[in-house]
Amino acid sequence: MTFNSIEFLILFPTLLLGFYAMPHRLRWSLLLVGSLIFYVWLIPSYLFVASYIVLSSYALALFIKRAKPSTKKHWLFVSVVLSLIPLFTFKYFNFVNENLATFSEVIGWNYSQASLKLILPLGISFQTFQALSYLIEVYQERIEPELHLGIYSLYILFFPQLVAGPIERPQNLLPQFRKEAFFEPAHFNNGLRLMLWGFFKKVVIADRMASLPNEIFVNPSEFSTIYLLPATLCFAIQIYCDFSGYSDIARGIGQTFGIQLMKNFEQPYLARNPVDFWRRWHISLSTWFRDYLYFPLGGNRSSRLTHFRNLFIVFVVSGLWHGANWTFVVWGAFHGMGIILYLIYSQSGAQKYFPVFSRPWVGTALTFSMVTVGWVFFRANSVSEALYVLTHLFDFSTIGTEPVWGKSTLMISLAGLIVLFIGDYLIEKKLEPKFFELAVPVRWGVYWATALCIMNLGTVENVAFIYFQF
Amino acid sequence: MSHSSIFNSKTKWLGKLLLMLTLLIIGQYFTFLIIDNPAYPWELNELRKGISKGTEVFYLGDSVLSFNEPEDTDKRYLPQMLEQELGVPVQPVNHASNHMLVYQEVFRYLQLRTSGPITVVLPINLRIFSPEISERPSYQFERQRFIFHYAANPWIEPFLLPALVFKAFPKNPKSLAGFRKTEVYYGKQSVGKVADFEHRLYEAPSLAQEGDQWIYYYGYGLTRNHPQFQSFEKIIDMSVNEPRVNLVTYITPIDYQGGVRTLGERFSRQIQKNISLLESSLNAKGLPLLNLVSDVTSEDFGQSEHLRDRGRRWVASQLASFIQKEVRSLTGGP
Repeated sequence: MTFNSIEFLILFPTLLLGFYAMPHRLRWSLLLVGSLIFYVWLIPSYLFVASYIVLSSYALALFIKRAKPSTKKHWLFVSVVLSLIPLFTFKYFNFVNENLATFSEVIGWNYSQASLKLILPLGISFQTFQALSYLIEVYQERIEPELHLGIYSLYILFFPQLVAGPIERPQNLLPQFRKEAFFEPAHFNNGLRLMLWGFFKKVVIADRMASLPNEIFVNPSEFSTIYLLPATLCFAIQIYCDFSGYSDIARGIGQTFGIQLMKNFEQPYLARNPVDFWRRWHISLSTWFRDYLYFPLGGNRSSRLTHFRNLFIVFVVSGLWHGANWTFVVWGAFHGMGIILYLIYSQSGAQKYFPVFSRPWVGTALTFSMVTVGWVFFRANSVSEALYVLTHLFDFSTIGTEPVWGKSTLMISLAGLIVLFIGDYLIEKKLEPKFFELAVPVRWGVYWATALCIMNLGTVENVAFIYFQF
Repeated sequence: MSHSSIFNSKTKWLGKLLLMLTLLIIGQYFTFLIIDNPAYPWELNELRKGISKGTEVFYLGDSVLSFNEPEDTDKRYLPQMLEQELGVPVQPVNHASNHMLVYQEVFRYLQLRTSGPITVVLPINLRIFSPEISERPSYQFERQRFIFHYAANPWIEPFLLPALVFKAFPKNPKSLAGFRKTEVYYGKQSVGKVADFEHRLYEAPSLAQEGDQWIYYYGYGLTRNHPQFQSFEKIIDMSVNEPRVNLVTYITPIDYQGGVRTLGERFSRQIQKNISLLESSLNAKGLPLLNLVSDVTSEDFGQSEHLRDRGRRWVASQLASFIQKEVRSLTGGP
C-alpha cells in the first residue's frame, strides 16, 4: 500500500479511531495488524522475509544479552551475518553473481551460476538496518533487549516508516510504543500539517517532475541537451520531493498516533557545502552509517589519510546500500570524493584566495550542482549511460526545438517549485512560528488551498515512491 | 488531563475537522467548475463536445474511424463519409480496440448525460472477443472505465479528479504472465497458448504459420460468458430500457476472404456461428444487426481491419441506409 492511495485514506482514519478508542495495553496489537495490512496489501509473500528479520533479530538480541563477555562479539558477528542473509539474497546475489561471471570470463575461469528470479521485498534495506541498529545497541549495552515480541515487531514493522524509513533507533522508538498516547490537538494538527506538506511535495511536485526523467532515462542516448538538462534537474527535484514528502507523511502519521519519528531531511538543497548536504539529506541513514560504520572504522580520530579512507568507504557502502548496481557505487564514490575534496579545500586555507566561494548563495549553488551531477549516476541504468548524459548536458550543437512539457505542466511545476522554495526557506530561517501567529482564517486558507492543490493538481499516473525499491 | 477536558478538546477538534471538510467539499465543487479535469481521456472530451453541440449521432469505434492511407484518393474518414450520407452531424468517439466494456460505460454516459433522442452506432469488431485483445493487460482500460462511469454522475463528477489522484480506480486484473498462458481456441479446440501466437506473429514473424493470424484473431468459439459479450448484452438492455436512445449495431468488415482462402470452410462456419450468437441476443430484444463481415475484399484493407477509401465508402453507405431504415426519428432521415 502507498500513502497516496485510496486504500490508505481508508486504513489511516480507521486505525486512528480504533487506536484512541482502545485501551492503551491493546494498542500495539492494532498498530501491528494495521502495519501488516499496509505491508502485505499487494504481495503477501513479503511477510515471510519481514517475519524472518523480526524473529531472528528478536532472538539474537537475547543471545547477545545472555552471552559471556568473551563470546559476545562472536554473537554480534553471527547476528549481523544472519540479519544480512535476506538482504544479500534478494538484493545483492545477482549483482555479485553477474560480476563474478564477468570476472571469470576475463581471467578464463569456468563459472556458471544461474541468477535468482526474486522480487525484492519493499523496504528490505530499511528493515534490515533497523534490526541491525537494535542488535548493535543491545551489544553495546545501550539498551536492554525488548522482551515483548509484539512491541518489538512493531519496532521493525510500524507502517509509517516500514518501507522507506526514517531508519529509527531502538532507544527512540521502542519506549514510545510503551508510553500511553493521549489525544492532543496540537500534536495531532502538527501531524496533519506535516502530512499535508508531504502529500503536496509528493503528489503535486515529485510525480509531475517524474514524467520527464522517466521518459528520458530509459534511453538517454536518443535525446539531446534540451531534454537531458531539464530531465536531470527534474530528477533532482523529484527525488527530494518524493523522499522528503514520504518522510514528512510518515512523521505526520506517527505524530497522530503520538509517536515522534526522527527528522530525515533539513532543506538539503539549501546546504552550503557537501558536508552540510549530508547533514541534511537522509539524516537517519547518514547517522546510521556514522554511528555503526564510520566511528568503528576510526572516524576522524586518526591520520588524515585514514580519515579520508574511512569517509570514502562509508560513502561507497552507502551507495551500495541504495542498489545493487555499479551506478550506485559510483554515486557513493562521487560523493565520498566530493566531501574529501571539500575538506582538503576548507582545511588548507585556500578559501581566502577564493572569497567568492564563501558567499552563501555561491556555496549553495555549487553544492546543488554537484549533487545534481551525482543524481545522474543514481538515476541512470548504467555507468556508461550516466556518462553519456553528463557529457551531453551542455552539448548545444545537438539542441532541439521541441517543447519539453505542455504549458499547464510547466506552469504547475513552476508554481509548485516556488511554493517548495518558500516553504523550505521559511523552515530554514525558522520562521514557522510566524506562520502560527497569523490569523486563523489565513492559516486555514493556506491549509484549504494546499489540500485543494493536492486534490486537483496531483498527477493521476501511478508513480511509486523512489525509495520503496531500496 | 481529565477525561472531560479530553472529551471537550476532542469534540472541539472534530468540529473543526468537520468544518474544514465541508469547506473542502465546497471548494472542490467550485474548483471543478473552473478547471477541466486533465485526467479525462480524449474519448470523453470528444463525447462532451458532441453532447454540448446537440449532436444526434454518436459513432463509437477505434482507430478505423480515423484511418486513411496515403494512397487513398478519397481521404475522408469513415465518420465524415457517414455524416455526408446521412446529412446530419456525426460525432466519432474512438477508443482503442473497440472494447465493449468501455463502450458499455460510454453508452451509459450518453444515456445519462443527453436529454433528446440520439442514435449510437456500435461497431462489433469480431477480434475483440479474441484473447489477443480481451486478455491483453494493456487493453483492460480500468481507469478509463472508472472515469466514464463516475463522470456520468453529475453529483460524483466534481470529486472524480481527487479520487483519481489517490488512485481509487481498480487495478489492472490481468498480468502479462497470465495473458501469455491463456489458451487459444479454434472453435472448441485448443490450439496453443497466447505466448505461442504472440511469438510467431509479433516477436518472430518469420516463424508465423499460415492461418495463425485468422485463428488467433477470429477463430475462438464465442460463448455468453465472455466479458465482452456480457457487456454487449448490457448495452442492448440499456438501449431497450431507454427508447430515446437508438442502438445501431453492425459487424465490422474483416479480411474474410483471406481467412477462407487460408483456412477454408471451417473458418467461415466459425465466424457465422459467432455472429449468430451476437445476432440472437439482439433479435431477442427486437433489434436488428447489420452484418458487413464479408462485404469488403482483401484489397480494401490497409493495415489489419483498417479500411481504405473504397471500403470506407461502402461501409458508410451501407450503414447510412441501415440507420435511415431503422431510425425514423433522425432529423436527416426519411
